[in-house]
Amino acid sequence: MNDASLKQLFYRLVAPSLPNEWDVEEALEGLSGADEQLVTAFLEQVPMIWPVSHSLCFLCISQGEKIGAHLKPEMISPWFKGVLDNYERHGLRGAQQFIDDVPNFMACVQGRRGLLLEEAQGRLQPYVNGLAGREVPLLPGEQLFTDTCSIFLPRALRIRGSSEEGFLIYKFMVSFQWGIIALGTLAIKGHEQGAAQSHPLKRFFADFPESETGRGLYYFFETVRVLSYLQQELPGLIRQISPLSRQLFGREPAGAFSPPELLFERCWQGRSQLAGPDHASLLSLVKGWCLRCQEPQANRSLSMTAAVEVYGGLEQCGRLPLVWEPLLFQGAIQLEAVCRAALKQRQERHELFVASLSSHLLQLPPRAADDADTSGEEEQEQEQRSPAPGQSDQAMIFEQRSTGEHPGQRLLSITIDNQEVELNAELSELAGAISEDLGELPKTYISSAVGKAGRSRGAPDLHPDEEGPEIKAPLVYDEWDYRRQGYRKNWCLLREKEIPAVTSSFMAETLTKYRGQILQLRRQFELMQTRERFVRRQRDGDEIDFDALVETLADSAAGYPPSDRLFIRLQRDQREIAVILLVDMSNSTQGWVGKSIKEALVLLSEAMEMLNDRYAIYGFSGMRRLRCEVYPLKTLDEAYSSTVRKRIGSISPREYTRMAPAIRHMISLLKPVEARLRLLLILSDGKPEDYDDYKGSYAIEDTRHALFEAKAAGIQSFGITIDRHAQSYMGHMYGPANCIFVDDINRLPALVPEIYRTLTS
Amino acid sequence: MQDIEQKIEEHHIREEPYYLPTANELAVSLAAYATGTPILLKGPTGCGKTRFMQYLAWKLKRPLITVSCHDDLSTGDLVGRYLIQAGEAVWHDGPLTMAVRRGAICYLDEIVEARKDTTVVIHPLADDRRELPVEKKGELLVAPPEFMLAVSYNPGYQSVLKDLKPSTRQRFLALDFDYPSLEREAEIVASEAGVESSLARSLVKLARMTRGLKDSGLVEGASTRLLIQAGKLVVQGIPIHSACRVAITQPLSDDPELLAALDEMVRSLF
Ligand SMILES: Nc1ncnc2c1ncn2[C@@H]1O[C@H](COP(=O)(O)OP(=O)(O)O)[C@@H](O)[C@H]1O
Ligand SMILES: [Mg+2]
Repeated sequence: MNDASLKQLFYRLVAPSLPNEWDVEEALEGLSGADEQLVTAFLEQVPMIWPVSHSLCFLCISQGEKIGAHLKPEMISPWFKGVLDNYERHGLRGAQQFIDDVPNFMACVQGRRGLLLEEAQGRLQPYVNGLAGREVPLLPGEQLFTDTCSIFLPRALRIRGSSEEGFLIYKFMVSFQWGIIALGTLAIKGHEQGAAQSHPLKRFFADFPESETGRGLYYFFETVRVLSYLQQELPGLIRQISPLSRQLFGREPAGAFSPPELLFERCWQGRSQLAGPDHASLLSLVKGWCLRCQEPQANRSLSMTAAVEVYGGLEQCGRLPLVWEPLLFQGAIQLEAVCRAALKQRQERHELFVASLSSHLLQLPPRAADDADTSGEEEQEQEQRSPAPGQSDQAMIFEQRSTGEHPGQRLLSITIDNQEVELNAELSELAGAISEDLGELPKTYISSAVGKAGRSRGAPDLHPDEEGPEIKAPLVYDEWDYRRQGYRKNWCLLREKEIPAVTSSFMAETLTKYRGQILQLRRQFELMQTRERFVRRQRDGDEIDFDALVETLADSAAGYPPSDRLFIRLQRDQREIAVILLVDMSNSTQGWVGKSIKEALVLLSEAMEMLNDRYAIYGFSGMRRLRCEVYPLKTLDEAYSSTVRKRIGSISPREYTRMAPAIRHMISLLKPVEARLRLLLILSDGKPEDYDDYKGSYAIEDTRHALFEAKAAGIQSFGITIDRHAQSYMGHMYGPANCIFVDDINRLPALVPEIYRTLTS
Repeated sequence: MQDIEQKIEEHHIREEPYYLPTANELAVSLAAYATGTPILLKGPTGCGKTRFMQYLAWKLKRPLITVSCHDDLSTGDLVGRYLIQAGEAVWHDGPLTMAVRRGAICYLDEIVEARKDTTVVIHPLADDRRELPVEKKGELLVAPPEFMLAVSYNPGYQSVLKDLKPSTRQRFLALDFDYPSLEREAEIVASEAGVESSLARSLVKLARMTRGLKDSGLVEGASTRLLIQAGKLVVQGIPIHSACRVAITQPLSDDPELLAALDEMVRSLF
């Protein structure tokens, strides 16, 4: 590829941006000596990295040749992920460091040495969720630790061994950290509000004159406890890791493989600092506590006592201070992170509670909330300001009712202004979690919700439309935030907007251009319609319904009027399929992409005329979460009329690709439809992405989640994309068998009806 | 008549079925029986609804007539029809009519699978009228006190199509059949599959791990029934890992990533 065509290609990839020519040239110089394959592999990453940061994109490209020298082609994509990850966490400097570190990166993945977190995560994430019974996000971190909400893992394992061994080590790290969470090693005890400001263990460690030793002792005994718990709960895992004894414990087992035993040996035996006449008695003191920590009734107070006792023993023998390097799977105790996570969770619960309760109140018949505080001032989107104390506090009391069966008290209803409000399951569970954390459900939480509900009732329309008359009132959809594994409630505002039906030559041209193909498609589709089914008890038909006949004879013999429904008919309209085509109308579909999409719609619609399948076509675009837009081109009940054709002709690229709210809207449209198969076919030109922070993993995970929701609603989805960079994430988003990548845009118009035919027959 | 007599005999449950109560379902059902109220058994597949009905029928010493509902089930299939025998029209009671006539327990399994126009025939039976009109015979049957109506449904199927109409469900006392506690479920698995209690416990642990994966794409977790199947395979000499794979993880999902994760659970547990 020569320089000029390279430059041209680059501009195409970053369109519609128009970066400085000399910046582009300078950066591309970094690829000038590289071979074709490398250049392609690098350019494939441009559309992903460009929107995140232009400078980062230039930086990577300008060092392309140097980087390429260290990376195998198939490692380029994971390496770029690593770059982005570092950029997001540590800015350009962090990314630069990562780039400079490229020899190391390869060393840890090359051949039989180690594994990357990304390679293990797909398998380990559901695994740990299953262990914990809730989502415990696995996140990349500098080192291994848990804040009790998530588990942070090193990005790469630099070990000598096969990748299967690397995976096992990751798996054991995760399992062990789960044990730490499950057994409450780092749990913040105490219910008083504000307890999370400072971790109780911090005070405990500080009470030791040599606090590092105290900390180490506590973690040692807790590790013994967790290992013996794992031995008990996950015996298979312990068997799996037994060949890895050396990597994990730094030694081979003398007899049977016993992790607590190995830990003891590793930490206490052969330490020169412990040598001396009292060596044996010291060891037996530790050993005694070790054994007690392995008993089923052991808890963390026991480990605290053990730490104090053994510390005393060491002190007496003058062996202080004594410190231990954490083992590979132990990681570090990070009390501040635990506190931060707890506070964050508390705040999230607060926000979630206020948001859900207020929307719950709004769904009640008006009276219930109308009396409530409506005097509150305009509220910012994100902060919930509690009303001044006393403003609405006296207006409410809340009562707690618990069912006889469950020992845990559960809040089932609250009383606001003498009106009893029943809580739904989600709210009462949340209220339960909050009162468990804080000892009670703070009244301010309720008053904020009441205030918020009151304000939303009278809220003005924030976004008068700019183009196209609106069809319906805006709808509110949640958004999935994978980082906290929860929904951002009521996050997106979506409107259905009318697309002006403009007369253009597009339709006529397309019909002429594809005349032959359309005829052929119509024939093919007509054949599909003949899904045959016999319907019984018909007034007329091709065959006699013998059962019905016998019954009628019997009826008439018994003196009843005979039925005339005695025939079986071959019914052909039993496909019972309802499909929505959701079409990307984002800016990136500019030009030939958009044209092909439109042609595909025409071809499909023409062919669909031969079927009785109900189908709808919707376009989507928008900008930012408060202005997601969906354009009905043809609703399910609408005929393929000339208006519809005109609308298809007037499709034009608009703004961004925030796909998930559109999917959620399609779910709400398809869900009530009675059909054997409900299908959502998504036609897009690439990544979900919006103007704001909605991009990268966040956008992909939200879209993926929306597709899960579709599945849960009994709707099948299938994605067709024309983005050549899409392979890496499409499978993840849709599931590997539920998407297809069309490399030749000219094939798209013919392919879409073909895909539809395969999917539904 | 002799015919019916004989048929109904077949529906008596003579031996005590193995059933481990999970909450107060027995007391509630006995009270419902005493007051002539129909019951609705809600719960995921394979959590013991059918088994409970067998146990209840045994306890009450009433025959149990079970109808598995499907979308081709017609009113005639439930109520009955005339058939010709030796040139004469002879009426044959359907299972529902038979149950009403003989004071049996009629259990409509997976009621949501039946078409809505079929389910309306149970309405007059389900409220305090407790009567069944047999239109073709011009007969109005009033259910004796021994008759009981029970229906089951699985709220896990999220399809709106497959939901009970409020007017139907409000006629029933609802019993929530969720999965039992770890200990109880392990006891059930051990007893039904004939495996050791430690293996049964691990199987239940596996099931519980799968039941929390809705957000990871698993709509329904492993049921007690699947665990029993896996246990039985182990008794037949199949190694535990493959037993879990064929009886539990593979039936649950086709997603390769999810299957790999489920497999890691199996390998950790056993
Ligand atoms: N509480 C229980 N006591 C005894 N066996 C049970 C219990 N719960 C489930 N089972 C076992 O699980 C199997 C499936 O239960 P079943 O009653 O068929 O489920 P469903 O809820 O789908 O009707 C039963 O055959 C039985 O072996
Ligand atoms: Mg786009």
